[in-house]
Amino acid sequence: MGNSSSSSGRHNGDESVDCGQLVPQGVYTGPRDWNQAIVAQLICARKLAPFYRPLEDYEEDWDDERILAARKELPEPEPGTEPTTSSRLDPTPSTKSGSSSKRPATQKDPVRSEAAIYRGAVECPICFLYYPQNINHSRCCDHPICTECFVQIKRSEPTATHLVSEPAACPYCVQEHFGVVYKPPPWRTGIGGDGISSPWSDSPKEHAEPPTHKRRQKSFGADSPEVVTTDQIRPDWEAKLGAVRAAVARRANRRIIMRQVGDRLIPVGVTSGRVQALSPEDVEQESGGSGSRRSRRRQQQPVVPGFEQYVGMPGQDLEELMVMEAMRLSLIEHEEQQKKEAEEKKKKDAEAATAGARTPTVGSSAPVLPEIDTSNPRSSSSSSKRRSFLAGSRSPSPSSIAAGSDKSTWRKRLSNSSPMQTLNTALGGTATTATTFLNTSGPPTPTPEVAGPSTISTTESSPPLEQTVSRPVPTHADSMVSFDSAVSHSEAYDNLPSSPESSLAHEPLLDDDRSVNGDDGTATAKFPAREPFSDEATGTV
Amino acid sequence: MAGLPKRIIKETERLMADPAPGITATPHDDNLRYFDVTIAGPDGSPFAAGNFRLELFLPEEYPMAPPKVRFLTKIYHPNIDKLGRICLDILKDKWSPALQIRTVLLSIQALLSSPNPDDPLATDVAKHYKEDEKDAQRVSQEWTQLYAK
Repeated sequence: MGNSSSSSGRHNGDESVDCGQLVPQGVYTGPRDWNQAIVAQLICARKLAPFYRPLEDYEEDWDDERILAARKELPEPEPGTEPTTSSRLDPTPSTKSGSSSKRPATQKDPVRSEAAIYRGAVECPICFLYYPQNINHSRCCDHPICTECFVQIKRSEPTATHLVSEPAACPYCVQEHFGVVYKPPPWRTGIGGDGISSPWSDSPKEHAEPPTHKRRQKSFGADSPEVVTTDQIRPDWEAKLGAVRAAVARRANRRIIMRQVGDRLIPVGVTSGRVQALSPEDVEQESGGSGSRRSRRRQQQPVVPGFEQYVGMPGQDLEELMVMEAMRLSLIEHEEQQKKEAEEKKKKDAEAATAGARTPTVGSSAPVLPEIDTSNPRSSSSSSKRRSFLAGSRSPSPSSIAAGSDKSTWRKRLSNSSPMQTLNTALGGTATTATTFLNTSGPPTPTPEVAGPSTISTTESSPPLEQTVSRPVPTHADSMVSFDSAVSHSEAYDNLPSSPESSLAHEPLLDDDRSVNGDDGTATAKFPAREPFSDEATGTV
Repeated sequence: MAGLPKRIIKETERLMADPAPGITATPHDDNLRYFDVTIAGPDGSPFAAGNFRLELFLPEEYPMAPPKVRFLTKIYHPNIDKLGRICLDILKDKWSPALQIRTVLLSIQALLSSPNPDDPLATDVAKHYKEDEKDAQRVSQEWTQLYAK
């Protein structure tokens, strides 16, 4: 729109630098994850080209009208009104949009100036758009790059499996520590302007005004004062790296909590590892030393709570899965024994003797039994993965049974049993699912005979929960639905999951696991790669 | 998705107007980020005279992230696996936003001329290439005649 005549760049004279802006003009739509304050400051200091509104095309022989018509349309906040006021000010909150101080003296000039600055425009080799000749150049090989593209270039994000952050390389010559140098035009307007010179003030020279960029002979060092590096506008990269490293270290510290039941060890949960997590000092040491301690710490505060975004999702997933896998295996083993016991119990039941003492809670499961029967037709592949999740979640119930505990002690155990939490998040993570989940798995009713003792396989596990899932449920959403429907059957246990102490105990883990997404495909694929597992399993008891 | 970035439009125009020899890339009408690609097997390689079909997709982050490219035609090559995935550094960590569709496809064509069994993706093929290059090349040639018409 407003491409016709009235200028855009000049209305907010107080926020422009040399006819360009302090904020991006919409070439890229992704997150603005650089430090905008620093960028704006560098632009005001004429160390970085301002964000000019680019031309989509450019020919040497175009007249002013043509040039102005070729300007890229502005991004979304452009209102449908004529840009006669400061309304086209950029959307960033940092900019004061209030002062619509126009420059009364230059009402006619803007058009000329806008067109004039584009004379001899340069195509940025990355976005293919044209910019005024005062464009940044790579410090190493002297290729042009617009500020819009420059702010996009950054170090590769560290991930849980790749704990380094290599400096960004020059996109043209691949030299490390990419940086640019900027040669401002001989005139100044807007912020820091001298009020005298302007691109159109000395009209005789107008045509030849932007002196063509002479190929530079030498390259600048990354640390030379003229250079702006990618690290300079993202000073938090070290903190990010530290956060990822700390997260990984913390996970490595995690231990499975085992409970002794008779002569067996039953896994009931996972420690958060946060207790032993690296202190900020450790992180500082690790991320290798420059920068003042105080500033580092300040940066870390906001970074750490949200560090999930820097942690590779697959890694996160993987770890939870592996923990659950171990528990599942252990459970299967335990279950087999339980089934044997149950079989024995059956025999003894016939004699109607002391069976109640040994497996006291079985009786309470009676109301659930009818549903459980439907679980037997199992689909093999589509839901098996999910099923293995579920198997893990049941950890508390068998152990509680074996110990012959009542509901309240079981609940206490629950507070240790973070896998429940893990599971919930793994399956989609909303509070509702969590509740549903616990509800379904809640009742301590593992009556093994119902699950069909003859078919003991890895995906085999005990009844109430299994039942809800083992129906053919190809999609995630479906399985959620089936959980929901299951809730109604077990309302009696509604209070279990929300019991205050359990949620408290889960707090740290929950933090960790919030980022688990539904993408378990990749994670399970890597499953067998787990080797340090045995170490952890023998961890705390 | 917002409008197609000018870069993608211009790259496509330039590709169509001035195609690289032995390479075609045509965007789908309904998704201008998705290209049907053909690459001619380079002369002097076991893939000569073959016409290989690939698909190329420009993700939302392009050009800050590399295009996703995959062989659709079966090919016996140590750096290309059964699913057609390609082991090429510029498609991964060595991507640079200054590279383009054209340069990527030229690089893939070059990879056909010079397989690199030391950095394999298809380990069995790479093993074959290392142990008996002549015989491996014979298989590559066979596959080319069989699948890449």
